[in-house]
Amino acid sequence: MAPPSFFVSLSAVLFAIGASGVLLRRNAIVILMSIEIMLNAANLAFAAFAVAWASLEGQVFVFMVLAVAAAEVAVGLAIMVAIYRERGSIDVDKVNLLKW
Amino acid sequence: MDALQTGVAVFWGAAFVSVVSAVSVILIRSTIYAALVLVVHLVAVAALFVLLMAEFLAAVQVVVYAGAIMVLFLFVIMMLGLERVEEGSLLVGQGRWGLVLGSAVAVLVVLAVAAGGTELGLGPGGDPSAGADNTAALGRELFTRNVLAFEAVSVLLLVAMVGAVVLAKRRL
Repeated sequence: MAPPSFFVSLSAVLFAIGASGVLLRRNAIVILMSIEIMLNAANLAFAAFAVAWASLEGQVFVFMVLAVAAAEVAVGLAIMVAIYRERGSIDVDKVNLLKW
Repeated sequence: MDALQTGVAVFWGAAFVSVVSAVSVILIRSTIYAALVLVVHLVAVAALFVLLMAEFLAAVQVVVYAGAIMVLFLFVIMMLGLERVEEGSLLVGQGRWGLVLGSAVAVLVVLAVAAGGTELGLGPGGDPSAGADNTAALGRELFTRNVLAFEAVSVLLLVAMVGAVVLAKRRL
């Protein structure tokens, strides 16, 4: 098995990719998917540290993050459905007025 | 090839697949192809979990993340007809500066790695389950020392479910 520091570095790279996806894309669905990439990167770091310190706490936290990600995706997609119904578009540049 | 070399080879393979698929998610124009490539990314991360001796988490990742969350994404994409959404260019007037600053950061990272090596001074490695079955050990940990977090997460899931139903209703 590769040393845990490799996994932590990979987690940093994946997090940067996810963050750039959130900043660059204007399609709200792709922004949500980039957030999922960031959450996965954090999970990877947690699991790597679980091995580094030989403790299961890291894996317990991955479990929690997974459940929170599922809840966040459900609510986020519901919001997106509501916005699409109102505006007819999920381009986040077009959803820049709170009340219209 | 002994076990260590196999482990390192699998790490590089899964890492390459996960990075390439993550970059593809943010660059692919079609939403539905991006969702399918994200499924590939999630399975690659599950392979990395197996390497990290977190077999239960790998299985849960495939079942919950790739099997439920991505299916939810695909439902919404196809229900709203979003696979045909058009988008403008990615970087509006920032391409040149982005390239300059991005290369500067990349050079800094390479210099840092070359100076200090890849060891981060982490603790001594070891099997988190301490030889026991990972699922059993994780379950024991979850239901004894972390039972409060477990119950809080179940309440969170209920709240999220109610919220999603209320938000997506046409008429309250």
